[in-house]
Amino acid sequence: MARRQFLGAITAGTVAAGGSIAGGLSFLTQSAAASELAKQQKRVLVVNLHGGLSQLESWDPKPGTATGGPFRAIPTSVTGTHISELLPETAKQMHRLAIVRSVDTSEDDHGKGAYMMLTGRRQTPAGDFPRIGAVTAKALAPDDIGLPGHIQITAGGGGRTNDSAYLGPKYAGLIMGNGQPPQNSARPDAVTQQADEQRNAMRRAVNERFLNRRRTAMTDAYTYSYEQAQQLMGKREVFDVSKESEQDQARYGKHDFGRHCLLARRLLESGITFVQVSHSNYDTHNENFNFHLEQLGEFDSPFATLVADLGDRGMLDSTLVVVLSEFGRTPNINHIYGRDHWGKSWSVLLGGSRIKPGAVIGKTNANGTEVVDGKVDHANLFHTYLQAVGVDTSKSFDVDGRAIPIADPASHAIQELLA
Amino acid sequence: MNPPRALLALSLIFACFSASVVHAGESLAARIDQLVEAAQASPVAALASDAEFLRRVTLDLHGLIPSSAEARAFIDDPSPHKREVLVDRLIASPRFAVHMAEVFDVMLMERRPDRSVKTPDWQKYLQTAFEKNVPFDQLTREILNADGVDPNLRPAARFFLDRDSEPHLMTRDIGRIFFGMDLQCAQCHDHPLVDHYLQTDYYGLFAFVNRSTLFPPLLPTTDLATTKFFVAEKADGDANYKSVFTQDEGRIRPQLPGENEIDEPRFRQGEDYIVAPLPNARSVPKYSRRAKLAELATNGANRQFNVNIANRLWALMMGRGLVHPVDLHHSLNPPSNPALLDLIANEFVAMKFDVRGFLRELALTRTYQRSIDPPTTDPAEQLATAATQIPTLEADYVARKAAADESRKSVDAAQTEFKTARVALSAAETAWRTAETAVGTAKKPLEDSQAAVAKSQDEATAKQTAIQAINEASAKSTEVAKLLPNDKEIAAAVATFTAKQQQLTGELAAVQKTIADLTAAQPPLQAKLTESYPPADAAYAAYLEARKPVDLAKTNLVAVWNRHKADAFASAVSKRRLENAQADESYLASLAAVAEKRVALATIQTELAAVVQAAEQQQAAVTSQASTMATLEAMAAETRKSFEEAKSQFDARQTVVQAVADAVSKTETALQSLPGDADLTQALGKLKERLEPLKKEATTLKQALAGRDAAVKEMSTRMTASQQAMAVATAEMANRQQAVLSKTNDVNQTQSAVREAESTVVSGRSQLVDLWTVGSGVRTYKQLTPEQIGWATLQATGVLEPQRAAADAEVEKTQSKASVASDIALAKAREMKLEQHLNEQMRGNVSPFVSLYASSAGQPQDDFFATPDQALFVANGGTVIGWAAGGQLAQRLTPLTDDNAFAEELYLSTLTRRPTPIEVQETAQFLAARATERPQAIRDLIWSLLTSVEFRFNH
Repeated sequence: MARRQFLGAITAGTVAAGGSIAGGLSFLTQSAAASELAKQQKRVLVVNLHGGLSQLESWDPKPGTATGGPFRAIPTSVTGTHISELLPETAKQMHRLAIVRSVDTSEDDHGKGAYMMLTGRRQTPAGDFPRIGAVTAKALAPDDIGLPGHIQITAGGGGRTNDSAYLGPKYAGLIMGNGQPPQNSARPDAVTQQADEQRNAMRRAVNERFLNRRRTAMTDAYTYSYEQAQQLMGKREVFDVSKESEQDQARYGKHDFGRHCLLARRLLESGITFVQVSHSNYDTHNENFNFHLEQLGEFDSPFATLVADLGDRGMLDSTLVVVLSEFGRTPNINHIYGRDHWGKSWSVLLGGSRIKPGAVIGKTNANGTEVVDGKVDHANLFHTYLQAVGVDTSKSFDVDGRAIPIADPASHAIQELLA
Repeated sequence: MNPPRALLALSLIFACFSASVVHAGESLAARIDQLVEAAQASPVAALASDAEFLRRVTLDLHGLIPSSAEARAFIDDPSPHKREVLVDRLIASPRFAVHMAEVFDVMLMERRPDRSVKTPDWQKYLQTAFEKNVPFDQLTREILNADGVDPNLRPAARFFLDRDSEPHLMTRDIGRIFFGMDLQCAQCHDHPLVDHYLQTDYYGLFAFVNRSTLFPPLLPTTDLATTKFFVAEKADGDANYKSVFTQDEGRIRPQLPGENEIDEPRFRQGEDYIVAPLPNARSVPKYSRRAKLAELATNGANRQFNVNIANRLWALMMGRGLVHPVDLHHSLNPPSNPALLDLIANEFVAMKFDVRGFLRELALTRTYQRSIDPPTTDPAEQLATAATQIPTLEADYVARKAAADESRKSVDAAQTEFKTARVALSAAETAWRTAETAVGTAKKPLEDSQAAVAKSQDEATAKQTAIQAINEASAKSTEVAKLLPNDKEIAAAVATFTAKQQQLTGELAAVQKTIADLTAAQPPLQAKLTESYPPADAAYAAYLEARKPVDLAKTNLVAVWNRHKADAFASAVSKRRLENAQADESYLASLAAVAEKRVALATIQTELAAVVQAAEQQQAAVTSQASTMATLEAMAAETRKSFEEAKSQFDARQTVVQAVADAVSKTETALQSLPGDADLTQALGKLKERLEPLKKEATTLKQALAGRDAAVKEMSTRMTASQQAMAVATAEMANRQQAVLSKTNDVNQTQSAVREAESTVVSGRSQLVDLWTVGSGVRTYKQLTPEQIGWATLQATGVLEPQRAAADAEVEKTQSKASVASDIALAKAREMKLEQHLNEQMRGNVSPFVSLYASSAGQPQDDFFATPDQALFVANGGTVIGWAAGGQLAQRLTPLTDDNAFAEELYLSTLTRRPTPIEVQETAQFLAARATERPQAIRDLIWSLLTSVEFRFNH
């Protein structure tokens, strides 16, 4: 069905059969109306803190308790809301963000926890589910901006992710390994600009003749993929963070996470629907406090700068921001000053789009070992992310005749978090 | 374009080359065509050209495109039987076995990463199977039965092993791959969307596999890299289900889709294993449910199994299953041609699941050989009757739908009845299971005792061996002691041996006593065990007895359910017929609408012409009126001028008359003062004398002036009249212009209505073509699989040729061509080895295409995706550009200076056809434009054709 929709999207206004498309891709040109639409277009930024961020050293501090650890809680830009002193810059942005302090996923395995947080479902042996990036790209990404809908900025590697399950490779994440542009997006030296134009003109001419025989949604999608590739090459600067001002590069910091946050801003501004940035490593079985001091020290400023910029540029109205991990960390501090895996009572940070600014949802008990109010899980969060950007999560994706619910039909969004 | 003639005779001729079944009557190919064509009230597409057929069938049966030499030879072959000859050559080639192995690998494993069985081993197993043409039923049995123990069949275990034998995954994939039913949603409840997948369908299949597990078991600590896994099976383990919606729960014995639960043999607990499940033993039950599944699925009696594979092979060749998607067989998704699906499924079974023979028949059908070009004419007759059929079809659908709804109610009733019966059975079942447990409990001490005896016996044997050895050592050392009587150390050694001898003998006695004691204690234990048998047997008998009504209810439920499914199926088929007729009707209506709108357009265009003409006439009238007015104006000016002249003459004369009159009057006054003055009198007389003629002149002039004035007035009247006429004419002109505008508007509107209607016709036509395609009357586009893209690109660019030579050289090292020259069988085996070698050799070259063009592992692999990163890989990556620049095709093209020869080689190599004159010209122009960089131009020409739609699709 994806193809049908696709055909509908790209051939609207053109005659479906027998028509000619060579050179006639004018329907792809962005009109003023389209760029206006682009402003309304919903976007999602996920910051994935690998290994499991400690909620006690971040969004749900418990200073002065047996489980609280050595750090203080500091006031934030939201009266009455305190977060860990490790996040002084983020504290100033809390009026734009919201905290869910009552996450209970009851899952302490890295792989399974990450799967649940990114798909909104438990892993089943019999079937795979698409990750949030693929789902948002499928549901929200416009087909005509010449840029991919789903990008993951990772520490290394390239190619594309394998996380779109039944939605297919079209929605799989394009990987920007250490912020590098997508693979093969630059024309090789061996092919000159002119040669590239000539060979593509030849390709179109050959196609036009052949398609006079018969044109279908599949053939349209195929020829279109080359035009998309050309567009992407033309917009390759979008992926180049060095095009940002020196001043901005300095504000975000020159280390990887800072560069990646600035790149995320650039990508979102360019109309890319889903961007995921990662930060490692929070799996602090020993020396939890030293590691969090170090890691959050790196995280705090670029992240807060990004939130502030999105806010100042009016993009938070349409951009959902989520900071998540696969789970939290044990309130109990072990004998090597570490905290272990903990899925029973931890926190997730959200903001932007329909998320109520400054909200704090749910509560843990005094020493953080249990959720005492407003318990939610991965499935509730998944519904919430999607509803925050206007996706009706009661609907199903039609995958080649199979209707597959967008989110777990047995669950629902956290309504009190949505404006 | 030669339609296959004398198919039967040809089948007979080629029967010696292939395992195909020749029917007493018509060939399967002929019967397929009859059913397809009978179902098509519409025209069917013409047969594909030789070139297109060659490309199509080579891709389908060998997974790549032919070389330019092969293409040239085939296209130029004048034989009328060349298509049949080609098909037989292709399926007899080892490449067929290698390609089919890959097709079935993808179908069975869906590109899951290998774990326990490596892909080359697994493919080699499949390659051998297809080389030997192992029937599909046997292949399935091997795959479903494999436990990984027999080294020859170990690769077959990949189906289970590389899915970790996870029962839910096995259920889903066996359901989809072997029965064409995606039952996944039925795991947790009756399928919410596919009414005809029940939770019991899922758990009936699940029951066959949920006792099978990986051995050794998969633990978090298991080292996947070094552990060799097998499939173990337990003798117990129930398939229990509970609906998350209705809370309905139950337990089910194995059950194949569409069939009843099976009866199973009973073994006493403790007697149910060939190898009991111990931590270090791979358990093997006496009764294997998995083996039962393999047997029951493949015995030819399960319709769903037969239909699934026939439909999948059909889809492989035809590009689309009769049931589509191939894993969504259910009553509401009926096949496009039910009779045809029945035919091919039954015939495939009758052919004893002969895959090669079956594919051969499909390749020889006209249906397979149809062109992608839809017929250009409309099916007039079909369209004409569609509307008249609709009421009947509608009535038929309504009736069938009602029947299906009605029989659904019987299903509900039967289900309730069954559930009640099943609940009633639970007491008897519990009693039986308790009694079985009692047997197990009774058996436990006996087994413990037997294990202890066995252990003690091992101990006793060990001690006996030790005593034996010590005895010998002792004897030797005694001899030494005799030789060295004063050696204290030797004496001590002898003493040690003697002491050990005594100690061990004592210990042996103790162990032997333990054995005796244990053995003596066993008869009562045995007796206790034996005592537990009759109650268990009785409980089982009672359970069986109590189960009778449940079985009856279940049999009834299955029957009622199948009846309902048949009704629903008939209703869905009827609905589809109705929808097809409606599509015809609305297409016909759109044709009529276009015709009508065109007539309206013509009328209105005529009207427009008329009003335009009227406007033009009026324009002429206005123009002529204007010219009349101009003439009048000129005349009026003239008249006014004459009037002015006359007036000025009159005025001048009048002035003189006045002056003379004044002079007379003044002279007369002077005479009164000087009466009689002669001079004055004389002057007066002269004046008076002059005045009279002057007065006369003035009067004449005045009369003339009055005439002129009258003329001026007349002109003014005429002008006014003319101006009025002009105003009328102009107003009329405005009216007529307005009429033109409004008519033009009408014309525009009607034209856009015509265009709209025309586009409805186009989309209606395209819908009809889709329907003809679904009905197999027109060939569908088929995407090349990722592997086919890789292999076809390697072949087209001429990268494959040297690789084949290299593989040949490699094979030559172990088996020379000369050594097999005189033995056909050996030569064939060598060919097979070469193909296998080449296949492995090219795996790395093909894999980038797989990772870019394939769906994710474990997903259905037949979806089409076109993503920019694929295009970027082809456009900018080194692979395709490198092959295009450096392959043998570029080398062959470089020296070709003749435009025709160049273009022919280029097109035959890439698109398997000769170029058209336009294409020859286009190619020549491309080269000429880049004459200074010919190598790059050749590379880019090859690239342009490799990236074309014509290359990407099998057509």
